[in-house]
Amino acid sequence: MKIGTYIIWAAAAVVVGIVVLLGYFIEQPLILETRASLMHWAVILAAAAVFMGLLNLLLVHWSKISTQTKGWGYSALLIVFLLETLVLGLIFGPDHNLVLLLFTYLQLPVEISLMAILAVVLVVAGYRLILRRRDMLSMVFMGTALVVLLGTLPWVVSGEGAIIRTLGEMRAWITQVWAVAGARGILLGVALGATTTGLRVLLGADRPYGD
Amino acid sequence: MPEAISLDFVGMIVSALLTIMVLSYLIGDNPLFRVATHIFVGVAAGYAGAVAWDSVIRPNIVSPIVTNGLGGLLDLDLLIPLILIVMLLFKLSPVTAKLGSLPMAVLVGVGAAVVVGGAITGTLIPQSRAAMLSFRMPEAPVDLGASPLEHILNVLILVLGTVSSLVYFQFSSLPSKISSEPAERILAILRTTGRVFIAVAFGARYAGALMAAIIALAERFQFLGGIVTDLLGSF
Repeated sequence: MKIGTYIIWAAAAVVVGIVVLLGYFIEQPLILETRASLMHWAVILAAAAVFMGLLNLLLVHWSKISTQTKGWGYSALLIVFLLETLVLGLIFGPDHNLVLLLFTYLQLPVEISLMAILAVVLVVAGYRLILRRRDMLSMVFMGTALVVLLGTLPWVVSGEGAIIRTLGEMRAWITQVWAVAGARGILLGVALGATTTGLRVLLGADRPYGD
Repeated sequence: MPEAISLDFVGMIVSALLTIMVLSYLIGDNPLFRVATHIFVGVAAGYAGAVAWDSVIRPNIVSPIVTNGLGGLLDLDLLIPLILIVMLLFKLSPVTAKLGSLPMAVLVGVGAAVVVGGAITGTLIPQSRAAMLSFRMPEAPVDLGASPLEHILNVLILVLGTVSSLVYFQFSSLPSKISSEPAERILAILRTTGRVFIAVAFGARYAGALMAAIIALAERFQFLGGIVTDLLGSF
């Protein structure tokens, strides 16, 4: 029984995946139409999965409230704001002024403030790196960061002096040549890794959907 | 006090309070920060659900059924996703979870194909093409120097950096014929060079992220200053 169900799920994933992948490289009407339908179904399924995720989030926090676990007040707050936004969004749509007010005055300021905190966190992390790991790579990392930061300062960008010009040119050289070279290697490595992982799923070697 | 307190004014005050609550994390984790983040998660999750409903579920599932009645279910583009959604609901219970594996398999299959296709057509081919084009002076994607000598030097750095960074990611063992001592030594040098290039790339990214974060921090302080000025001005 176990072998039977596993084969069905794996076959479904492999067939669906190969048809979608073929659509990237073969412009044959039948493949393109089938691929479009499969992608359409997957988008609908993903949206349904979002609701299952929301349900799971609600259940997890509801159980915290019902068992009065430490910090249950935060869970209650989360549920109130989740339901409030969701209900308003379902009734009026996400583009309605009421929902946009919640987005503008609750979500946006927290997002920007979290980004703002990152400034302090990054400076502290950089300071600790210099303090604890004084090897060549750390020095290269922080040296590059320092040159790029100094080279982007407004008085350097609009400055005229020889030192300022050299700093600006060094920044441009590092970001356009050295950093691009490293980033391209990383990007290609990530793409190769993603391709390998994806192909393992498409060949049925990895089955993250369960047996 | 202003004669009529507008919704926008209340919103600004709430925004300012949330900003202070989040920034309070700088003195350590505290209840104010947790309140702000839980509100954030609640609103973000609710908004995501509303967008998923409004952009996908309602136009593709609910509206066709409402418009065409149950006869609309004869359309495979409606019937199959509906069956898959019902099967996905089986995942909620451990007893029936196995039946929910089919929609998950469809999702994973499509996702894996999109990842592979996207990686090949969106990264591997364009990045390799950009690396090749940089050899030709007029077609180079970025300015690699005015003089031919400068251009050649920069292209060499680009190629060395790309190849050595890729070699650094090579973790599998080599066949015994290749893993002779000189080859191993060259690979070791390339790996070390690759680490230097990766450190430079991350250093540049770090500086970029730090600058963006500093701008966000300055914007928040400017916003708080503006609110304080408005409040003081209204009294």
